[in-house]
Amino acid sequence: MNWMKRQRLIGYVFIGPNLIGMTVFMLIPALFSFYLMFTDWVFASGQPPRFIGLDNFRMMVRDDLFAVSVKNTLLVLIPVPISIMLGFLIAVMLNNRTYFQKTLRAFFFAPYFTSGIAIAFVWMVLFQPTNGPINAFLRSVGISEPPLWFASPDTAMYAVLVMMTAGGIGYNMIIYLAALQELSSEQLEAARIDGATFGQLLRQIIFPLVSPTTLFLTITGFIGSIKGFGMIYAITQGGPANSTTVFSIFAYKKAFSFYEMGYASAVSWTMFLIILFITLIQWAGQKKWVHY
Amino acid sequence: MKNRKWLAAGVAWSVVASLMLVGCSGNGNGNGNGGTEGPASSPSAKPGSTASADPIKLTFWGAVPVENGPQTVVDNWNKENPDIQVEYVRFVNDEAGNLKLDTALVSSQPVDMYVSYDYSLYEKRVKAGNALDVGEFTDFGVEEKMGEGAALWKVDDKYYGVPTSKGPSFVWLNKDMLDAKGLPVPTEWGLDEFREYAAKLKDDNVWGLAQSDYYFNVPINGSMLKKSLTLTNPDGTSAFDNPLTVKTLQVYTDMMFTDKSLMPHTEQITSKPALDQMFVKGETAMLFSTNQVFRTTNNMAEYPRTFKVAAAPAPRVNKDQSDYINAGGLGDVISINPRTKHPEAAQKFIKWYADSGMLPMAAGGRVPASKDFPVDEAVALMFKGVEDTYDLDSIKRVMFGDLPLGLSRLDRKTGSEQQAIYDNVFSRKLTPEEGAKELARVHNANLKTSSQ
Repeated sequence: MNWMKRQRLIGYVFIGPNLIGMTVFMLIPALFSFYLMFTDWVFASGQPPRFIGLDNFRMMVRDDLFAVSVKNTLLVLIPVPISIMLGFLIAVMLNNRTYFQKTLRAFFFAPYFTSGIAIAFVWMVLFQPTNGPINAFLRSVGISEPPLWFASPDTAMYAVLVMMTAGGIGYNMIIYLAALQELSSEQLEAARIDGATFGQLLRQIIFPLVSPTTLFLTITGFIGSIKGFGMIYAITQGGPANSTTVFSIFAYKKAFSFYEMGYASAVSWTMFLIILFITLIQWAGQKKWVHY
Repeated sequence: MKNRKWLAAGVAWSVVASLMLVGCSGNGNGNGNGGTEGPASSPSAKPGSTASADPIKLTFWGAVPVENGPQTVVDNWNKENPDIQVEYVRFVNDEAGNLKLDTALVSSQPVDMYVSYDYSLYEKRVKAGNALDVGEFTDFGVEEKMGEGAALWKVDDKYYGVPTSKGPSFVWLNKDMLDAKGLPVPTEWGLDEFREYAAKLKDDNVWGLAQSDYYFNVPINGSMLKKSLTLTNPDGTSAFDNPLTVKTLQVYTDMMFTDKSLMPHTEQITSKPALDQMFVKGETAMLFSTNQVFRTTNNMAEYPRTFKVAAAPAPRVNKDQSDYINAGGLGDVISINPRTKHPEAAQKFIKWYADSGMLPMAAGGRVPASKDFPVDEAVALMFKGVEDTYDLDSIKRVMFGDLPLGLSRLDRKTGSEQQAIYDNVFSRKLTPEEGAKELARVHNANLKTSSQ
């Protein structure tokens, strides 16, 4: 065997385990789901899948809960830019000499490596309408009827957005810290010598220089938000009154509460298309604001 | 250097191979003398015995926690029947747990017998061919043993499982609190009286009433059950839009927001309080729930309490309703997987379980349904060591009395979709009248879909 072939074989041997795993546990199920979305298959019904063409999509468009889940899914995109901005500002602060720098870094990053469900339950306690500390504080400052947060269809989504914003800050901060430490100190020094204020430095030098990081965080943040499931489901199960039902919860309920695998597959692939569309927009838009 | 590369690759492949073997294996029972047949085998059960001297091994799936009786039941059986050994496998009776059971059934994992707790799931399993017709076993008449109530569990006029327990949902009462307010233990009541009790029993840091999530559907459904198990009118349309539904929604709204004697529904479902623990800690005077609460009230070691527990039947909508059916009746339906290699052994276990074997389950509140079951023994075991902490007369009146019991056959999809409507009513986004109409609309939509 010549050297090139041998090198190629070694390469395949090394990527083999990962490739097999991804094929068996991701690619094949995805292809099966692609097939199922054109059928009316109900799991454990004893009936085989029956081809129904695009009927699942027609049903989806007429489903009121689909419209609600699309609206809620678009709402959960809001925390992404907010947590990216906050993560950036905290990273800038921690990148300079600050008191308790390491403690603060660990404090902000802690939610990222804590179990999402544990964090969700902490927020559930914080937002408890009757006995929770947030409403206790609001009552102490004179708000006699504070919001019901998760317990009301009108405010549950806002509570979810606050929870998601807070949850994303730590990860964004750490990524920005790494990016900031790669910045050339000469450029910043030169800007200061030229009389740039801190605000100008931040807006016109630092932020553009870390724009590739911002693009990465925006893309992954949007994808993560649209796919988000665990924390919302742990607290509200998509309620009350479907006010926090996002796409992933909608698909989950169709698949695992009602066993409607065909319909759930159609919803899942629609979610994929939405994620793809948003990502492509971001990718195309990078020419305008990302500086490499 | 070359050797290290191959060593690393070899380690990676060994890990992958091990993971795949673990992932593809069964649950460790093997298919030696027990277990179920694979999907390629004939689905019909063939009577016969194995030639091997090894004991027959059966797996029995249920949702009751192991420590609340099932393990003792299985241990007792295994001691008496060394030739047929049963293993209990627990699944949680929620969506994920039932999905786990259904997945095990369709993928021919070892499931010889299993318990269904919900009619629509049971019917689905029967129609998927995952339950044996127990009529094949002539030495066990389900109705003779269990009474007419068992007919609720017929599918296409046949029994595909044996209902083994009975018991209504009822109202648990803190008798000490009732006595302090001069209130007698109710023997029959409607929602107006229920509301009155809750308002009088409410105190600082004490709710007048707590109830399991979405339990307002108990009086609503109970008012329709006598006419139709599927809660429909004679013309096949939904019966939800009626004055009794409106009254129920109104009374509960008043309890939550006017009297403030009941925790607001949306607050409860998002705070997820442990209602049974609230009851034994004295944080609620009444608890409208199932007989599973016995697991907590009987456990004085972990949940000590000083008050006596009494029981009252579930409230009707109007006290004088003559056609009201209490939620409850026969349940815990044990079915045999048609792919089991030992249907006779499974049937023998079920017969023993129903007639006498399930006695250890009584301590957890599961009352045996079989007429041949020694009821006094079950009662004695249910309250063993804690008799003085119960008002036994009221408990026996409710659990062993002659209340008309029944279970609805409302499909799961409708039940699930109606939850959003209850959420809106009890967030005051819909009036009770609008709520009743919406409940009917959702039901009608699903009735139309299922008839197409």
